[in-house]
Amino acid sequence: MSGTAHKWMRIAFAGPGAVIVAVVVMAGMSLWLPRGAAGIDNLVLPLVLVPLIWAGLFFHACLDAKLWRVAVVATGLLLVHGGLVAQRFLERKPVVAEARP
Amino acid sequence: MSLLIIATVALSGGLLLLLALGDPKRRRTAAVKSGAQGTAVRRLLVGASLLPGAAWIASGDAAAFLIWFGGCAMAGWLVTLVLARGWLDARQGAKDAS
Amino acid sequence: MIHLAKNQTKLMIAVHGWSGILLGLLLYAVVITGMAAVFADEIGAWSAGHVETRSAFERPFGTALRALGERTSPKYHDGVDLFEVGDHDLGVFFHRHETDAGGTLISRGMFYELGKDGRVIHTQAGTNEDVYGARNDNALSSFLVDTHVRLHVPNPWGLLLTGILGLGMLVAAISGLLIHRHLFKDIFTLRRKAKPVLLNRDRHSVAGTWSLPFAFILAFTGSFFSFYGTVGMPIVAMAAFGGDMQAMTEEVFGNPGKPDPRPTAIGNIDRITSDAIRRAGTPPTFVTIEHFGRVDAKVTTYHAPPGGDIAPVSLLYNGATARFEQTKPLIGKAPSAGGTLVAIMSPLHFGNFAGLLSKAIWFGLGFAMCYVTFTGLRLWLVRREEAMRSLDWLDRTVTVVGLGLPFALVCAAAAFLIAMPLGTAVTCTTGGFLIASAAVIVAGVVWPTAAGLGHAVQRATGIAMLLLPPLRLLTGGPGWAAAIMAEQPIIVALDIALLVAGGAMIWRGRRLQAPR
Repeated sequence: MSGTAHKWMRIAFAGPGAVIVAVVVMAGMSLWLPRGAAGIDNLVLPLVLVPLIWAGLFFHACLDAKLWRVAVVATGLLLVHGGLVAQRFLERKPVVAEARP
Repeated sequence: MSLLIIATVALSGGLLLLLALGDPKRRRTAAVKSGAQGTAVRRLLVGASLLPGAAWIASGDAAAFLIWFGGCAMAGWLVTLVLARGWLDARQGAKDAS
Repeated sequence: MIHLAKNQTKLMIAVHGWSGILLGLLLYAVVITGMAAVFADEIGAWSAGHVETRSAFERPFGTALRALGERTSPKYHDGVDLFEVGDHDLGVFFHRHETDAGGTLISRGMFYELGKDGRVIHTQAGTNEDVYGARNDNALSSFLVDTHVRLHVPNPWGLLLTGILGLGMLVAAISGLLIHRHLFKDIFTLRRKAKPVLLNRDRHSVAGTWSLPFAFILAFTGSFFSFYGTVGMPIVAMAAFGGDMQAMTEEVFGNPGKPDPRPTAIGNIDRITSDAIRRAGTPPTFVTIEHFGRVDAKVTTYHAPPGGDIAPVSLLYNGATARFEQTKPLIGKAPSAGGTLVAIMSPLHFGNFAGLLSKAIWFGLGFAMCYVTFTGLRLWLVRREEAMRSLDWLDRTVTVVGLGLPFALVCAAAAFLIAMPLGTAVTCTTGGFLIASAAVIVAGVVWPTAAGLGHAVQRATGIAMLLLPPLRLLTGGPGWAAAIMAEQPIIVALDIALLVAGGAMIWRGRRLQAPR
């Protein structure tokens, strides 16, 4: 891969990539975080932490010398959390279909 | 209670003033000869200036700790601004010369 | 301090510089109005001449509340918000929760203002936007807060904009830390006789280093406030509740207990408020009643944190029997890590957890952050001064925004003082700000030199500040003797602060212009 392509990939991961992954991680975190004493930790912690998650992804994309590592981390987080959200969405659909007479 | 918090800010601020007076780089750029503090002294002063904050944390007083922390930030900046005017260094320079 | 490779340092310098120059001017506006908004309540009392110090909740209002309940349609009995408006009068907002056309959760209902004698002095139908928006007597503080929270851009775009600016500040703080190789070695060094680049760099990095932890906290909490309602909650609700925002709100903010819609008269609210004042030690800042007129009615009173704590306290009462049930966490039905974390976001951002002392510190830190932003913009320009002469327009823009904004805010205060007795403060405060801004922009274009422009704007700001206290008196505001007699020293304190600050700005301007 050429230097210019590397540069644009890094910009993509640090820019729109970090935003998309952070938002998807925020959504997915609500499905695996423990609910805590009041049953709400999994709902509020992602909301509080999302600026830091985004900043972490942004700086990782900027500073990790190995671009493949940046891609693995970002894609991995996206797939895992996106998958959790998709799975929840699919689980809900048959319930809604059955509820209708 | 407010007075106690202000007193701890003043204490830490005073220690920051001492640290600033003996700061090697500041003295070099202000062309003040000698008098810079050694590393051991500076570490002692830093530790001492942090003690009130540690005490507030240990006592569980989050409000006091935050006010102390912010107060120290303000004090440190103020001390640096004031010393940059060179008044105290001029007096120190006269003492060194005499 | 943190040693990065050379190319990484170069990248961080680019990130720091470009995020600063692209977002810096807007960020400066947010930070300076935030600094002023720390004292929004005090500015409100000073500007409107409020001399009442007793809380509205320390007066009985139970009878008046029952009467309002009877005259308000039962469809608005879902919730009642009680809060202070004007000079410690009581605002009562009967409402129900609904979703507007755009899908946002809003409250719609009837708002009443009760005077000190318990009579209704104002009635308004509308939503939470209308009720909690600017009024004639709080137009100045409302203007400051609205500029800070959303730069007067309508929701949700204004909140998204300030959220992005908060993230920009977070990036600037972290990248600044990564760039600075000798953070602690340089912390006391401010060279005065040095080249412009070193001079500005020292000013910027010294102020930035000392205020760094707070820049981080304020950026992080600020972007949380901007994003949690606009983007955060809808997305988490979509993932965890299939998009049902009401269900999520109920889960997070709801009260324990089973629903019981049988009608019953609301309990003795005066007994509740006096008990709450006794338990919490201070009058409530806000009271909410859920399910007004039902057996399962709940009353929650919110109070400033007791000494030593930073999170506000909320007490839960049975609305029908007026009996105390429990000290409730702000978020969630029981104390939790997540609830505590959310509860400390406000005190960390506003600095209002320990009265005037914590507010004064936060004001000072806000000033430091304005200074860091402004000197950062100057540094960016000075670094490029030798390379590109054509940056004079940007130099003037930085001066117009950096020094013109404080001038325009002071003029907005003057416009408010003139307009409030006439009842036109809401439009005239904004008008005053815009006219002053236009004047500074015109000066920015026509003034012969950028440096001269800066001095002129600073002098004008100083003069305007000196004129505010006499203007306040001339337009009918209380004198110092009256304010002190009414135990409202903040009016005197702010007058003195303006006279000192104005005098200092003029004196400094003269010193800068004096031949060396």
